[in-house]
Amino acid sequence: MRKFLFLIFICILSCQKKSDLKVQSSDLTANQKKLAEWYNTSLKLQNKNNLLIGKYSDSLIKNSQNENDEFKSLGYISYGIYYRAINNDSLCFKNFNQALNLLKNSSRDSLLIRVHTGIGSYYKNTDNYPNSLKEFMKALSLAEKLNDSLKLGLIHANLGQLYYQKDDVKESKKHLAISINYLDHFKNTPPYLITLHTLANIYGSSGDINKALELDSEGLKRAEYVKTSDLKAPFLDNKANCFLASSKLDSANYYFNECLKIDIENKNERHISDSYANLAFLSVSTKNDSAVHYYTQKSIEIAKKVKSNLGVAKNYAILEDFYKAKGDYKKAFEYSQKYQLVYKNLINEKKEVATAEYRTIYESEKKEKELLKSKFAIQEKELQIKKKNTQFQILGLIIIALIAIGYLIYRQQKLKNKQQEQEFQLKSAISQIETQNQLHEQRISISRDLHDNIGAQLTFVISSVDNLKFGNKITDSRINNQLTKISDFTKSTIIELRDTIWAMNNNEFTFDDLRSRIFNFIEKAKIAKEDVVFLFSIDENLKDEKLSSIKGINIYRTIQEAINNAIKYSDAQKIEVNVIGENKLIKITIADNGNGFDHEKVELGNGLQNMKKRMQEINGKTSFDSKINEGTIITILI
Amino acid sequence: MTYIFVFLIVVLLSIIVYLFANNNKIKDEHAQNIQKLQEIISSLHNKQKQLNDKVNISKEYSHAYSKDMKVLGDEIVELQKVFIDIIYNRNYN
Repeated sequence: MRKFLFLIFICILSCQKKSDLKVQSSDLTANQKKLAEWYNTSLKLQNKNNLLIGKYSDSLIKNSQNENDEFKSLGYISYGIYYRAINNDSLCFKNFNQALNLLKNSSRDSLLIRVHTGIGSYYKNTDNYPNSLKEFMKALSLAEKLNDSLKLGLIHANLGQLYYQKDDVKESKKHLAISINYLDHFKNTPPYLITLHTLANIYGSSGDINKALELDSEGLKRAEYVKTSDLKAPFLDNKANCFLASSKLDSANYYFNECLKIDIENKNERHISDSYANLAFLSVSTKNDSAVHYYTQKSIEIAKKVKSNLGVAKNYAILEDFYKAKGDYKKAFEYSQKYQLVYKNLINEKKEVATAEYRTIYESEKKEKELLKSKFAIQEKELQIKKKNTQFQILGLIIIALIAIGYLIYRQQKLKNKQQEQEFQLKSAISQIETQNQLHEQRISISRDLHDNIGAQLTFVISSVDNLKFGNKITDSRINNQLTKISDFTKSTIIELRDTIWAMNNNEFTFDDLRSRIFNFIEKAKIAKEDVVFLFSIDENLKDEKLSSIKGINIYRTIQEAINNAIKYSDAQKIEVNVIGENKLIKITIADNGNGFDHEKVELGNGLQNMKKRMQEINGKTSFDSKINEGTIITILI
Repeated sequence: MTYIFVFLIVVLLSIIVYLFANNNKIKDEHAQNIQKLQEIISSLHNKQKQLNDKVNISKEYSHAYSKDMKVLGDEIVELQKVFIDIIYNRNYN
């Protein structure tokens, strides 16, 4: 039986030799790659070198401290495999359970299948069928998700075995049939062997020895193919039992001994003890007393060495039966007592195991709760820190906003001050200009008054001179001439005054104003010189051109001077004044057809000098072009 | 607390926006004022120029007038000379 369980377990593990860590190697760190490699090596070492599995498990645990939970779980799974291989059920369960805790939030189904199958197998071995069924069902649902035939076949084989242990042969057969279906293409694999073995057991126990033997023979062949002696022993054991049941004692003896050889070869003391017990049981049937004593003694010795109460109890039961058959009831009673004592210990041991198991679960749950609690505490702290950070950030924003407001208010005040200063400066300038203007206006007003007085005085002088001249009938030509001279001079002064008043009464002039003024002057001049033709033309575009009073009076006086000169000195018949626009300038030409003068011989008189000076005052230019007997052209450019 | 902070930030941001707008408004108003003042200055300057021109014309005339008066004075003196000469000739001839 023990061999049978062992077969199942190694099948569970060895059937999953495909890598559980299907991850892109480029995604793994160097340490993760190393851990995956060790884990796979540990799986490959099953049924070959348990000691090395233990060492790899230790390395996996140590090197996965800083890795994620999935990598941490590898060490515990490997340890679970190791402890199961050395028949330490409680530590096996503890490690698988720890692996399960680590993989609780994992989506790595292949690892979870391995863990659930391991735990289910443990429950099955400790006769905790409900829990075992629960774990196998979990593994089955995950395997169905992966749609992995080999894993599905193995889990159904386990379920078949579980139902067989529960004496539910019908359900067991159903699962074994499903398993065979899944394993149709995996016949030389441990899961198929477990299925064959369970079926052989079912047929054997139901009396169909031939069918059982047939399946055992097939199992042996396939175990030979797999080349693992561990897998052969359960079939040899099964075959021996079949022969024992059909009273073929020699054959039974042969297969039990073959089984013993394999056990000794594998140094599996529990199995050796079991094989010796089987041989003792066979010796009871052959009534070989010495063999019974020898095998039971050997079996009990080894079972006690490996602390296998089950093995010891099995031997005491054989000895009890042996002595009963011999009629030595005293001895039979003695072994019956011993059997009961060991059986009690066995039950206690199971209870302890169960307690340890529950303690493991409890501790795991407790740790989990503590973990959850600490996680909550960390989350709460993180939340508080986050809240504080947010508050600090907001506070920072408020400070920045306050600084910005302060800066804006300061800037606003500064701007206001600057603006006020600018406005004040401009207003001061305006007030200064206004004051100056007022002063000028006052001066001009006084000037006007003065001019009026001068005008009145000059008029008085003229009328006085005229009265003197015409009222007294002066005959002296010298006095007459002198009086005429004074009168004419005064008249010209009055004209000059009127021109000045005209200029002062207008802020600006157009050329039209200028023309009418000049025409007035020409009309007067015409009285003196009737034979002279005057022409005055203005460019149409310049009619509305405005001139300041100073410019206007200077141009007027220059033209006046030029006409005067032409009338007085050139004896001209035609005087022509033209005003035209030329290259954004105003060009005024005063031409006559008089005598003209020679530039080289004649020096410029006061009149021409005055004309030049006037034009310079208003940034204008004057040029004279005169040819003897051809006339003179005076050009003004403004 | 966070809500109060957020409310405070909103209020402060509103103040900042208001101050920005106010600053711009003050700038615009100032620019308008300055433009008006410059226009006034420009017109006053023109007026000043005109008045200056008139003053210059007046000064020029005053200068010419004083010269004319001197010439007139000379002519009168000349007339007086003629008169004195005539009177002298009458008395002594």
